Amino acid sequence: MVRKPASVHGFVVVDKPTGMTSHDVVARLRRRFNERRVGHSGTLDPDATGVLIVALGNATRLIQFLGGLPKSYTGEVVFGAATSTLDASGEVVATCDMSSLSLDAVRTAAARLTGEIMQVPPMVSALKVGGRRLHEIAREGGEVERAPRPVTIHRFVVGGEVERSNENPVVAIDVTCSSGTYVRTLAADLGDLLGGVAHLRNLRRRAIGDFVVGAEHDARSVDEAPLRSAVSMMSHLDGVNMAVVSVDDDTAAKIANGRALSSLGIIGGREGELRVVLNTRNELIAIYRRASTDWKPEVVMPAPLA
Amino acid sequence: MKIVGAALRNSVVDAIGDRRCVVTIGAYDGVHLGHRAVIAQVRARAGELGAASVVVTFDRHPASVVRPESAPKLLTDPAQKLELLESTGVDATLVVPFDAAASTEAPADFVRRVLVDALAVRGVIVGEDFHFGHKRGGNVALLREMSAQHDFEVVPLRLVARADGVDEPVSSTAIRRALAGGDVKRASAMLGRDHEVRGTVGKGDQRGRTIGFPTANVEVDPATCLPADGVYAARAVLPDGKRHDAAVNLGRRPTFHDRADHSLLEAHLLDFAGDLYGKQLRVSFVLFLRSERKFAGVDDLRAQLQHDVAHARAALQ
Repeated sequence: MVRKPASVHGFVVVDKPTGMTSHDVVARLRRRFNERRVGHSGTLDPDATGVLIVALGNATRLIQFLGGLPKSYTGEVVFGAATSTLDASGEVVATCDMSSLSLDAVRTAAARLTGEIMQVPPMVSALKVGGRRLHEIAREGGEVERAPRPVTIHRFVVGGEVERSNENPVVAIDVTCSSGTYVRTLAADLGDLLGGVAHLRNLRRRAIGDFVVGAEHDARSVDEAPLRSAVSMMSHLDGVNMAVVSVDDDTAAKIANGRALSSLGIIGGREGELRVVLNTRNELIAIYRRASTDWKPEVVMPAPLA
Repeated sequence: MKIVGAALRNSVVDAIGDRRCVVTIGAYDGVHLGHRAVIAQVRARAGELGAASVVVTFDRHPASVVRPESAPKLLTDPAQKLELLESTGVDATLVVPFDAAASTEAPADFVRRVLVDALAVRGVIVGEDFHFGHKRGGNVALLREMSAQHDFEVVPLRLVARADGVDEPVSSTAIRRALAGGDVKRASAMLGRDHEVRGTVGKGDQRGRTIGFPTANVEVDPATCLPADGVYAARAVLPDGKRHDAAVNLGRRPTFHDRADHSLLEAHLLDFAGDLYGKQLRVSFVLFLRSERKFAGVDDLRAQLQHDVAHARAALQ
């Protein structure tokens, strides 16, 4: 049987509801667009809600570049109860009395968790150690040593009051962090710093980069979110490490052959910098990366992508 | 302030005479291909009924009154919108003032005042999801309810999207989203023309002149929707109607980095020598050329601008 060639290319920015896994979102969009190749940037836990960026067709080749964007989250830290998963979906594994917790103390601890910090990934996570996913090992009751990883907490805002939930103090948080940060771990570490334990609940990813829930042009429900062009998505990455350039037909022909280029649209460029390359019809044809002396293809699209 | 129906009718009486009217109603920002398709239906139905075709719109975007904090940036200024509506061949455009008082008008009152009293409405053609009046309380159902008493027909139009959901319906929101991503080609495809902004040429920092690339600093109303920052191939129209190809830079003022701040539009007109200061310029965006960048020195900047101009020239051929 001949497989249907990918015919739908582009991105969908979804506001994932609670109860759906990131994989469910992908499956639903696969049916909606009748497109086999679908991938997403950065798993959101089933209980969590918020922004998920999904790529379809040839745009799946570009999703890797969106994965590195900073992410913003809101959530609630419940103090006095530790759980097996670090969030509300797990079983309570330890409790302590933190009823006299003050907001000032939480803020001071949050400040210590701001900036570049080291974080030990949770046991219940999709990370692989020795070829096995950590959550598989955890399900069998096992626990393995995990190396701490550097992450950056750009912003860690603590809510205006300490609320109560079943006698446990609860504080709202608003965090902007680098890709790869576990907010659950941040909550658990906050509890630890305050001499007790804590877990996270009601996690909502408010934004990936510029893509925000609630704003006019942003995340919508899985069935309503419009397909966006690769060009307009990738141009949101314009910044210090990535620029968008369009090239003439001669250069586009060289790029189609995967040739390295001595210059590319904008003079200069530091090693490692990326260029999103458009043709004269402003369709995306390639991503190039600056090597020590020239520009080398990182991704060349099989066909120009509108 | 609410203008009574008779006075509203006076504003369009030259065009509609004593005819009844087939109307469509909306903000009509952009007058894009979706709008044009609706207007074509209004004209066709008006022709069949011997009625006048009329677009009912507002003197400002209703959202700028109802929710100013999140009002969309405009694809067309009021004058441009009227010109574009006129070019559709519609008999008249009725511009209804929309201020705080008008925004609280009950939907049924709006129908009586604007559609019945002013236009002796014979037919209303609107999208099936059309809402109007205080708190968006008016809809197709309400129009139907009132249609028997006032003897007019209501034709709701389905917003057509491809069944697979690939193409969302052409909408002002979709066009703004494309522009926000620098995708002016896609915006053009939905508008049926290139996105055009207008402004008066003010005093720039004159930096371009010293390196051989004089630019006109076009002061655009902050309510205008501009494409993403970057360098574009564009076309500029002078007040005398002369057209010039141009390379346009959209970027932030160096001292402000807040995203909410409005970008500065600098146009370098190709094959043009002269003073544009104080003149009204129209700029339409044809093609995205590159992201905006700061350059280490004047030599790099000059070389880059040479490249941009050659690129713009080729792209606009």
